[in-house]
Parts: sequence; structure tokens; C-alpha cells
Amino acid sequence: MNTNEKFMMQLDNLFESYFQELRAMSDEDVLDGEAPSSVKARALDMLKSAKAEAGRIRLATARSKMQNAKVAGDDFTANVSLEQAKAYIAQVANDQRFTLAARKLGEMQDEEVMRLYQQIRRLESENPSGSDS
Amino acid sequence: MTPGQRAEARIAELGISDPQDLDIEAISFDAGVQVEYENLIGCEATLVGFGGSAIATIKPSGGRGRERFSIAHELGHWEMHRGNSFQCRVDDPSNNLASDAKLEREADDFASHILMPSTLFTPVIKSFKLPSLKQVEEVADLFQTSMLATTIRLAKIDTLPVVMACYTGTKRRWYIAAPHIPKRWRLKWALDEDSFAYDLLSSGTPCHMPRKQSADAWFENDDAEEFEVLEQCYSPTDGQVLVILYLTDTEMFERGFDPSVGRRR
Repeated sequence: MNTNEKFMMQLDNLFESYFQELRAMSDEDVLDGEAPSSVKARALDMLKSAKAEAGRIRLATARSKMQNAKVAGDDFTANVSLEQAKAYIAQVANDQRFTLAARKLGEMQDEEVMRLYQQIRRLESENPSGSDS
Repeated sequence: MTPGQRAEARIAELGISDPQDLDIEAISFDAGVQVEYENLIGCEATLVGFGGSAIATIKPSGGRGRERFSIAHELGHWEMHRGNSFQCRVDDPSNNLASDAKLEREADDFASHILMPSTLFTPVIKSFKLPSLKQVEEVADLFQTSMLATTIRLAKIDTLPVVMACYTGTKRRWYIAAPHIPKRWRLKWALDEDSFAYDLLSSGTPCHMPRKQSADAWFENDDAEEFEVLEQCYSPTDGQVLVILYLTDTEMFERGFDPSVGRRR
């Protein structure tokens, strides 16, 4: 678990304990002489700030993971002919687990076909079940 | 939710409150999209996705603004069109405005909003009265977007009485009007010889600051000659001219339907 993920967990724990504390308090204690509307507004502001902070941490985590991400070194095109690669891409184009925005297969240059094939196989190897998470 | 609303919701979710933090590669990575750069042929970008991960391949371009738009466009496809296969188009918002490809327009809208979210973009625009091209360029620098994408967004946020149009040669390619501009005002199809844009195309005379121009140089309506607009223009590529018109005469907003030109679509 990296620093950001630890921080996110701490933030979750903080939310949880704050929520439990609020639940345990009587209405009078929660309001402490204040108007319910101003308590509500302050609580909403706090929640908004906490959400924004959680979002910033999420983005910072993505940035740091992105910088450490390495392109998989496996060459999936090694024993594959151009025709096999084309056939595979055509099959993938009709499979809803895949998203494909590229030129028409017939318009692609050979190099482009092989690059696309490599990327498809790479994604499959990283997530063989094709799950969404 | 519209594509724009989806993009803006993502910006809010990520707590982005400064244009400097609009790191489109990190935003994409967070959504499961890895960005790579390759010299593509006949395409600005491609997208391949499987399950919850995708690779967006972007053609390196001279302008970072254009690359960022391509990334944001592919992210738009990923967020809105996952599980589909379609043909990529050139991800130049200008080309897609001239076409009616629904998915491409949606991805462009998403891109435009995620790179220039209204919460950040509108206050910057509002700080200028009627932005000159130089000021639009400053905004483009701030948001790391192209001049073209920035000017299109400028019209769409609907805070200024602006009409923008693109002419290739002297023929109109596309145009956008801020939604509150009355639809009775019908922009001419051909560049008028009296317009500054015509001067720019024919003799290279620049018009980088808003200058007064008779509205009949721009609009087909018979009563256009009664009004003045502010015109400025630049040439993004050879033979092409982009025009920004400000309709500063409030009476132009009070004129009723003009049966001689019908309604603008």
C-alpha cells in the first residue's frame, strides 16, 4: 500500500468515526444552540471539501502510478502473420468486451495492424478475465 | 447527462480547482486509459480497450494543445462509448463541427469540457470584457488548449454575444453562435469582400483586435446594414480563416423574426 492509498484509508476511517460520533449524539448536542440550517450548511461544506481532497489524492495517485507504469515487454506479434492479426482484430471488433476506435481494417497499413494486435493482446494479458475493475 | 456534464462531473470528483491541475494524462490514467504516442497514419488517435483498461495512441503533433485534445477525445469515447467499435476520425474539433458524426461530436464535447471546465473557464473569460485574440491566446496558454478549441469553447459557454465562423477560401465551412444570439441572424455563406477576414485571406492584412464592421458584411438579413459588429480574425492554416464577431448592439437582440431569411438551424 503506498502513501496515498494509506491516506485514503485514513480518510475513510475519519469519515466513519465522524459519522458514528454524530449518530451517537443527541439532536441538542449536535446543534449546540445553532440553527439547524447553518449546521447543515457547514456539514455540507465540510463534506464537499473532504470529497475534493479525496479526489485530489486520487489524481495524485494516478499521476504517480502513471509515471511508474511500464509498457509490458512481451512481443505478442512474434509468431503471428499479418492475416492472423487482421482476423483477430476483425473478431475483436464484434466483441462487446472490447472498445475499438481505429481506421477500417482494409485501410490500415501492415505496421498499424500489428501495433493494434499487440495492444489488444497486451490488454488481454493484463486482465485475462476482461473484468471492468 | 450530456457529454459536457459528464466531463465536468469528473473534474469536480477529482477536486480540480486550478487549470494547472488539468493533467489530462493523469485524468485518463485514473479512468483506466494509458496514453502512448506513435506516428499514426491517417488518424490523429486510436483507442483500444478491453474490460476496464484501454490504450489511447496519440499521433505526436507540433502543438501540445492538439495532443491534449486528442487524449481528451479518446477519453470521451472510453467514458461514453465503451464496448463499441467505430472508425476513428481526425480529432480536430473543426473537422467534426463540419460533420454530423454523433459519436465524434459527443467525444469532442466531452473533451472540450474536461479541458476547459466551466467552473474554471467561465470566470477567466468573464474577467475580459470582449476578449481580443491576444487574450484568447493567453487563455489557451493557461488551459494548454489550441486556439481553435479555446475559441469554440468561448462561443459555447454563452456569456458573450459571439458568433464564430470558419471559412476555407471564401466559402463557409462551419459556424457557431452563442446560444443566446437570436436565430434570425443568418451568417453569409461566402466571405464578403468588405470583411476584414477577406482582407486577411486575400492580402494577409491582420485583424487581431476587435474592429468595427458593418453587420451587412456578415449577415444576409436586409436590416443588417443598420448595425455594427466587432470583427477579428486569424488564419490557423493556409487558406483558412477563423472569424470572431461580437454583436455589441443590443438592438440586434430585440429584432423579431426575419421572414426573408427564415430561421437559423
